[in-house]
Amino acid sequence: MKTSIIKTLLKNKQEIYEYLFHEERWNKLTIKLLLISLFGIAFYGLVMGTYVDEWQHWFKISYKAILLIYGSIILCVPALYVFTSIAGSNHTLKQIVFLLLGALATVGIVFTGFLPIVWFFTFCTKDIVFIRVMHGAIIFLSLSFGLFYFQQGMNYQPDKIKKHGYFGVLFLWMLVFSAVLLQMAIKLSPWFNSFKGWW
Amino acid sequence: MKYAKYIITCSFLIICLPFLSKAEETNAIVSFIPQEIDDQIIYPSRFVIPEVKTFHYLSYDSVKINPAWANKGYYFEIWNDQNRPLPDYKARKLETDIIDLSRVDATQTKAIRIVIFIPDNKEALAPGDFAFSWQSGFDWRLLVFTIFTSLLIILIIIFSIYYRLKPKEILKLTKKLSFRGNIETDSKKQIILLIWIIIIFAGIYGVALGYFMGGIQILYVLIKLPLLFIGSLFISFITAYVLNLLLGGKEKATAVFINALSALAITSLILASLAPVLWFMIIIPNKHDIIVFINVLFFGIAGLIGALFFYKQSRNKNILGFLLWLFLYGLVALQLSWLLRPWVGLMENVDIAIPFLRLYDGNVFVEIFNIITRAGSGHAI
Repeated sequence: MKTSIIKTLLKNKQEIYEYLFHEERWNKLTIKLLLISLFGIAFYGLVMGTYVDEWQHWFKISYKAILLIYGSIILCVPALYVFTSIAGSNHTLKQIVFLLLGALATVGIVFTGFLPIVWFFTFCTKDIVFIRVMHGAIIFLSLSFGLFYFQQGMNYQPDKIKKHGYFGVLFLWMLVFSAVLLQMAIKLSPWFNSFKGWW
Repeated sequence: MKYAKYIITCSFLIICLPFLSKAEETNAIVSFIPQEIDDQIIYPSRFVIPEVKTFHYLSYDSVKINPAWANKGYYFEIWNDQNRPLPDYKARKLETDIIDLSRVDATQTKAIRIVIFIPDNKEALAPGDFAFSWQSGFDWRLLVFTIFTSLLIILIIIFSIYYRLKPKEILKLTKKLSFRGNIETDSKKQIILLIWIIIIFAGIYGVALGYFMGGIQILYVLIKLPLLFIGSLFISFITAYVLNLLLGGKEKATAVFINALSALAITSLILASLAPVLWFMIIIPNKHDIIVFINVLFFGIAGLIGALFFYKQSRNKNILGFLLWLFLYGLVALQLSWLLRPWVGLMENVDIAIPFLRLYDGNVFVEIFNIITRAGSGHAI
């Protein structure tokens, strides 16, 4: 890959989709994708935690945000594999996970892009309902961009991109995933109150 | 530019500092002095005058009254140092012994007192003392604001010297923007030129707007208006740019930034052209609400033309991306304008000093929501 991975994810996704059919070239790329997503989610969590005036809280929320996204994804991977297989996909589980890593890296980039706005609103707003709605909307939007990346990847053929395949099945999976994510968020709460320990 | 990353890291650390600080809580016990006004006995407390140091904020928390007074059919008001009731605390029923004062704008209320009204048909119980509580602490918001503004001004001056800008060039670009409407997007010098255009023309409109209150307010709005335009762009740019790229945009960040700045420059130009009209409306004279309405109208017209210009200039005509830009910029600009109030002036207490910023924290969207729900439930707004 000639350009940086973030630039490729933003401007030329096809270049990453190309790797889907060359497992032998995955090593470095998968680690990079994983790191981008982890850092993106961690930074977002850090800024999200600044709602509480305690620096320890920022890191706790950062850690919780990673748990929230990765925990929910891990729980939903089997469902995703089965759903897409039933819908006619020939992708292996490894390929699905590779695409998911790219989707999570996209989520991480969108999260990072939102940092200035999130910081600005967290800095000047103490209304808990607004903060919750804002984070909910941003997480939903970021995950939608991730899902869009995943859908395009699923439809990728070396010479062309079909645009509409798997939409229904991925939408259904997104519903299941959203329910898991919500449940996980409740399980990992509190998010906006100070607490002892790491939970 | 090799020290840019250190400057950014330091700025980020400074911005984080507010979260490490704690506010101080203070209580004051005050007694009451019954007074007779228009044949009615009222029970005003003595004034509470919190001591606030320079660069510190003040916010009122609550006032605790004698619990025996609650739910007795009494009424209360919160008065300011001019002995006028505050808008949110006018002839309210005394239903609880702890009255929340968080909606009091402390920047306009240097002294405060509570006044109890006992209707003629109700028995007057002996009240105890009143306990007022408030918080004060270092005003980090003002500090962050000052740091950002200073940093922006220093950078603009440094780059203006670096590029050896001449007033002639600013004039030339203004002409180009006004007559042809399109500019080159590949030169970084354009960024500084455009920022100067925004500062000058938004400043002109700011002067007209500040004229409503006159005095120091003219200088305040002259500084705040260009800062609102540029600050909102700085905060929303990265998000909007990343989302645009994901939606298929291919333009370089510099080109998009110059496009966005030129749209703001057009908006400022239009506003400046409307400044004489606004000034005329102010000297007629018109009331506060009418001036607010005229301003909303002018900003709407100028913003719409600026947005259309931005869409026309961008190479990638993605309507979803464009709407996302507008939404994000609007969201940030609305909140920032809320934080930078007062713009037009104060509706009440015109005889007190006008603050540069109202240090009453809040969120514009929450306020709008509260207004709608209050209107929906039939309460006075």
